[in-house]
Amino acid sequence: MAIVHVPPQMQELTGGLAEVEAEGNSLRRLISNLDTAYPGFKDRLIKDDLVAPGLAISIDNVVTSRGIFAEILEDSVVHIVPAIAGGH
Amino acid sequence: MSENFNHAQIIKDPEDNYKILGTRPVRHDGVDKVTGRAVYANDVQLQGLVEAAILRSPEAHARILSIDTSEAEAHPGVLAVTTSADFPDLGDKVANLGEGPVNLAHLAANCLAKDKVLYKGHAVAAVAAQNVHIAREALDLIKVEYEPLPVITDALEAMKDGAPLLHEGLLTNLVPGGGKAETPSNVSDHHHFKRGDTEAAFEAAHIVVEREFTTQTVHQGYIEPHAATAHWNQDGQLTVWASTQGSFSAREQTSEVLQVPISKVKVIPCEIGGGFGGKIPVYLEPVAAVLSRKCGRPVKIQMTRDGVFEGTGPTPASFMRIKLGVDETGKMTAGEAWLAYDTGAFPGGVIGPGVMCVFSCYDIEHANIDGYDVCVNKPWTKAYRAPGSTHVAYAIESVVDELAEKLEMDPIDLRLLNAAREGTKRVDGPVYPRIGLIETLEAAKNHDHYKSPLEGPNRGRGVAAGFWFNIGLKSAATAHVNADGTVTLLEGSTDIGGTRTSISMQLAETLGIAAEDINPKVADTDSVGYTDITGGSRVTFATGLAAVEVGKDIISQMKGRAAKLWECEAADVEFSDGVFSQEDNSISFKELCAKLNTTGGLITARASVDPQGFTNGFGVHICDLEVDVETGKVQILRYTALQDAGKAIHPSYVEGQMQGGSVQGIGWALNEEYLFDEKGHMLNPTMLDYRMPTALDVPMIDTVIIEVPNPSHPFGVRGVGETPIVPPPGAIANAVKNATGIRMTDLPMSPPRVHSAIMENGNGTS
Repeated sequence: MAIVHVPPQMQELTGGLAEVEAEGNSLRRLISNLDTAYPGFKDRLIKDDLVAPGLAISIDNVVTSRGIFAEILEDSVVHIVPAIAGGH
Repeated sequence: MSENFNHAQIIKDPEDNYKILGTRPVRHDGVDKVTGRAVYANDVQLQGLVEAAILRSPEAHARILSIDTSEAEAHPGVLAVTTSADFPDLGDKVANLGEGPVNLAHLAANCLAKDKVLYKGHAVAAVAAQNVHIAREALDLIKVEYEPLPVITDALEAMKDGAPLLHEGLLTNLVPGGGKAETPSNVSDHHHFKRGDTEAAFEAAHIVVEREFTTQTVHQGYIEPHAATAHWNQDGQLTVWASTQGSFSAREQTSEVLQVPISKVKVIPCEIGGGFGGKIPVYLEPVAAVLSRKCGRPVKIQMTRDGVFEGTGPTPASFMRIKLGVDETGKMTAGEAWLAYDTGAFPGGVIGPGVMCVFSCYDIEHANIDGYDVCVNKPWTKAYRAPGSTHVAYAIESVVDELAEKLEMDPIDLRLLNAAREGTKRVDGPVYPRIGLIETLEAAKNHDHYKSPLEGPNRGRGVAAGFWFNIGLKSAATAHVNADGTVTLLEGSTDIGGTRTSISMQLAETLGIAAEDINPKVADTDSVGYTDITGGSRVTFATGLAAVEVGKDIISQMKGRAAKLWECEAADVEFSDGVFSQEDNSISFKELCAKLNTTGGLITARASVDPQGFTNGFGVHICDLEVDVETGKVQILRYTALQDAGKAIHPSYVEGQMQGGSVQGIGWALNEEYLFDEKGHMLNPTMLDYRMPTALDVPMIDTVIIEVPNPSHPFGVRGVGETPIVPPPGAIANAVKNATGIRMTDLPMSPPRVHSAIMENGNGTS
């Protein structure tokens, strides 16, 4: 299963866990499964089928531009980070 | 002194055996640029063209009670007047444009104020007339009734309970992924990262240094003011000529603000006289378009210089508190950062990169970071070269220097002991791939500059490191192979720093031909595939990758043609160093080009890429300076910039980026700042009073390129353009400390500020 690092601002959803495991071969499926286990995940991360404004997803230490269709491997490590942007 | 300097040095990757990459061909657009024939946005001339001017708010914060444009509309020579009433209602839609998400209502309200003005200089109305002089006369005839509101320009003040609110309903985004706060405030974003147990780690630390720092609002200072021409044709097709860092982004923004189909908008990118992040957002394009629709003529607007300073997006002012702890050996064990950046008039600034960059050069086990973007009555801040990183590098590098002093360690040794390397986990989570900070620090330590003695009173040497991300994003390219053996290359990246040539060289290397045999053109949005902005240090990496893919397509197609000539299978044709071969047959690229017309016609190839393998850039700078203790003036004596640049495709452009970024960072450090009065009015909106460095202020900047290849690019390319602005304020502050004994914690270290510090601390001489 993929490992998802939960940033402090989201740990209220995971009961304080900073790291959780989830299945899913795409970011969409991964977040859907996370939302089942920890309700609220999807609302925080996805808006209109896109990664929510201001956020970026790092998969295996590379920030993906593939959005919810990004591939997740069995042993992927996922981080939720701020989007690099010059104003929004 | 300068004759001893080795101004440009390259530490090459030993595996490097390129033919074209690493050479220094003349830039393809050089002749047009030096002869003045290059067409910039204000050079555009069209049949029936009229000119427009912008009315800007005299108030920094006020409600707009009414706008009466009737007298202006009746003024002889006036063809159209517009206000925000001519823009569609955009609700609260957010679109992902260019380098990040954009709230469209805010974008539109920044182009023309709606309901409220939020900063002095905020655009309120625009007039198109037979010429710009008539347009300016007519601006005086527009009657705007304002209800002044309390003005707030300081982020810390704006964060206090009871501070006047710029946006009554603004709820803080808790980033990343934390939803929203429940109570309205001026804080648009709160970023928080935490790792380990900082409290216990500080408790156990051998030495702890904690300091507060401030920086001021600084403008990108591009020499070319914003300009745009729009022609809204009777068939509904809108064409825009713009000075922009991204024609596709300008097209999307204009389309969204005006709510017209994107297929109806074409953006033609003109040459650009600097951008540095400031020419990503649109300011004029939608306004010129509406005026054109109203008057049926092409409309051109060029900003005045004060319009650029007051009406476009500088980098934020900041307040930063940094705390860092080390053990007896100097190993960093705990770090804490509390950062507040002002975002200007609208939500969404650059605190995100700030929190991600603050500890990015170092491996720190326990860390806690809080960062805030705060709305104030100043222009809406925008990207400026490594947005958000220069601020925090100034603060953290000052604290690292102070720790080195307390530990009695060489400052580079302390950095080497703690430097991030492959496998280091950043505080925000991701783990570094192959990076070159260690190599860059070692090169700095071994550099003649660092090893040379610095003698004389009131002189000091400082070093600092800096970090910036590279981004990937999307790029496209199309190539036409010509019968004479040349290749016409169409690409969509606005060329700010010589990227026509750096992209062409990658295609030339792939094809085994000379860089001069590539003829690159920056195409408009109807003529090339989607290409993201020129920004994020991405163009030579990503658009270069598109060119490499184009080259592979060309080779594949030409193998087929060679196979026809030799009556063999294409799979049996080899290609190496510009020569196709099969058994005893061989033909050069140029020779085969001459046979394309008779073997199936000339070849076109194309590629569209969305690369994921972008990486990170690190720089280390060394500065020698002298402080005039009578006046507080700081004179830079010698300056060396070292950078892990990956493969330097065209070393002159890499050196130019390193030198230009260094000089901009020197400007931040020593002079540049927006000065505001109590009403929020900028006091120095001219190049005379806004003091940027000139050639007389800086010595020749030495450069050392350390080529640590990016494993995710076929030629090892890393982004280069932004990192060089990051280290200078820290390096200069550390040098001032060593020259005077005074730790300067506020930028800029301008003569009055340095002189005051010297007076407060006694006549600090070394």
